[in-house]
Amino acid sequence: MRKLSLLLLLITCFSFSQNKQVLYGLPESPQSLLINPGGKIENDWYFGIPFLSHIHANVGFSGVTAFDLFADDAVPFGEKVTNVINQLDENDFFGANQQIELLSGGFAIDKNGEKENYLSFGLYQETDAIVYFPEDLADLGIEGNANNIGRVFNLNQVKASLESLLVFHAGYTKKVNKQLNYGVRGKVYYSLINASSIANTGTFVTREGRNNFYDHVFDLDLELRTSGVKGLSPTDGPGALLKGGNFGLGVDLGLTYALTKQTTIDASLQDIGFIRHSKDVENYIINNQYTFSGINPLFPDVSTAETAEAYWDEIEDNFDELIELRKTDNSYTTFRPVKFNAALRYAFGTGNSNVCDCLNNNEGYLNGIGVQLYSISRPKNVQNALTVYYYRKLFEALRLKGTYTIDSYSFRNLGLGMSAHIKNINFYLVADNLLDFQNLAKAKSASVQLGFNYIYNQK
Amino acid sequence: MLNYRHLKLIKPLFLLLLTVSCVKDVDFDQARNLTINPVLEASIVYFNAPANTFFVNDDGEELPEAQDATVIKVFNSDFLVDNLIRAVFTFKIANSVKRGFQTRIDFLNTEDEVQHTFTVNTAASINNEDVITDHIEVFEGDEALTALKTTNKMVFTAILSPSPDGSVINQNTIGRVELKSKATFFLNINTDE
Repeated sequence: MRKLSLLLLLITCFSFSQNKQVLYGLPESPQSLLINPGGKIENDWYFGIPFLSHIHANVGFSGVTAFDLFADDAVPFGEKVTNVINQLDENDFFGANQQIELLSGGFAIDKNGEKENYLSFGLYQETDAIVYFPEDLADLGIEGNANNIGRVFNLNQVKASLESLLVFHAGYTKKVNKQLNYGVRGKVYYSLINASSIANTGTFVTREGRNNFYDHVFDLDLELRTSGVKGLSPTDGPGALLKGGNFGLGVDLGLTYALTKQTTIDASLQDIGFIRHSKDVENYIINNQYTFSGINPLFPDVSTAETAEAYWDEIEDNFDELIELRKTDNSYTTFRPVKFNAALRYAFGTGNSNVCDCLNNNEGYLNGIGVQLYSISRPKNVQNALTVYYYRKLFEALRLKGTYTIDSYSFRNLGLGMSAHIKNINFYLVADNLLDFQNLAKAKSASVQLGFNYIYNQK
Repeated sequence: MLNYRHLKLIKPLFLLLLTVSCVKDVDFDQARNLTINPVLEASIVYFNAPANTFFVNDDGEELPEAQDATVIKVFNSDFLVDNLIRAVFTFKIANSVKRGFQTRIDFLNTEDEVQHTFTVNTAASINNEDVITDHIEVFEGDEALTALKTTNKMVFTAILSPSPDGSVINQNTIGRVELKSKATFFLNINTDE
């Protein structure tokens, strides 16, 4: 009987992003090559079931849970909002990521049945959003400035970005010898929608004044850049998104190196790339300064209706100028969030006929443990995650992986995934934050991944 | 390869996952009724001028009364009309003129009708050193708040007190009058309204 390569396992996507540490480093899954193009190859060829081969969704808020804000109790909502705002700081963020693979496939190009040269390709759609919590603005809105005289409210905390894009990719994986694999994947990005407001600066402060009680000092320097959004109306169908027409290029790099028969290290970099936005661009800029000390009505000529009105008009004009919105269509460049994965793995426990009598892959180990590091570049900083996992072949056709992940936000994220194989079809399903699974409102993040692939392996 | 026996084993696992996972004990509807109570503080009117520029007429003679006005369209803005529940105005007057005076502050609506008025008495300076007068005016309750919320002009009228020694203010009079003011707005912003 043909031995089929097995799929996947589990995946804990842990918090907030594209972290797929279960898929990462799992040769049974074709999708693992999208995370590390230098991964191991275990199939002769495969294709993903269109639209179903990889579905990923993740939503998370680093600082608080839905329960903190919406608990069905007697505490007034305003009080909850205030409590939540007091808990959060400028490094907290809301993040969401979604991916759906439209097409994918791969095949070994060696004629001798070896898998020393392997090509893979595909097309997927991705949406990624991140919004940082603007702590100072929130405090200003909730408290006002009266108890914050002298406090500088920073506008550089205003950071948000949203992008939706199509990614066409083709990769080459080379098995140099039994120890070393490396690979590279080229990507063409087609931006559907982009909106980002990252490089904001400026301050607002109410300070003791000279001529009056206070000077209110406004220094605004804000910019929102968009492409593919202009002229979009809610009644447009999805097809309207395709008119964006902004392209970018990127590359993934990866390698796997066997230190011993049982111990492996691997690492990859994903999405080292950019998108140039030059079509359908609309940018909004506010860049003005103004200091308000009050209204000074005292002039030698005594009041007339005109002068009284004029004092005010001048103030009003100054405020209008302060928030004057300029529009431009200047081209701009965005960089994709670069992802770094690395792992140290140890496999142990060879086949036991009580569990499975059909192991015949090279390693043949039933158990795996390892530690994985994940990092992603974000507008404000680099976010990291550390995962330890246990991997188990339960049957030859059923594999499980459990993960425990920590990052700066959560120390209690347990994930579990499974990969099952029915004939040539592989199915995998992964979920994380299992401790909060009974009530997702108490989870800071939740993610799910699943997919179907058709896999062929001669061996 | 996975057979039926295995599937039977997996199925309940997934059913369990699907059925136990839910979102509970939360009420998202409460977001419709958010109330916050920020307190804003803003400088209002200020001036600082020598007495001989406004208590003296074109012929250099003492003017017993000086007046100026400014339009302020913020009190009757929708934002304050909807959300203001209390306002406190603070005035600080510094006088280094050797004459006392009374400052009347009128709040007028768009028809120039007086909605609210009060006066602040400032004593004469001795030796041209500053005499400081503080005044706090609170707008609380429907009547006072309505008056404020229909105001779009503030009129400042300074009325000289009688001269204790018979001297009059002229071009050579020493001293100045400085006024500072701020308003503290207590807000109740409710998304349900």
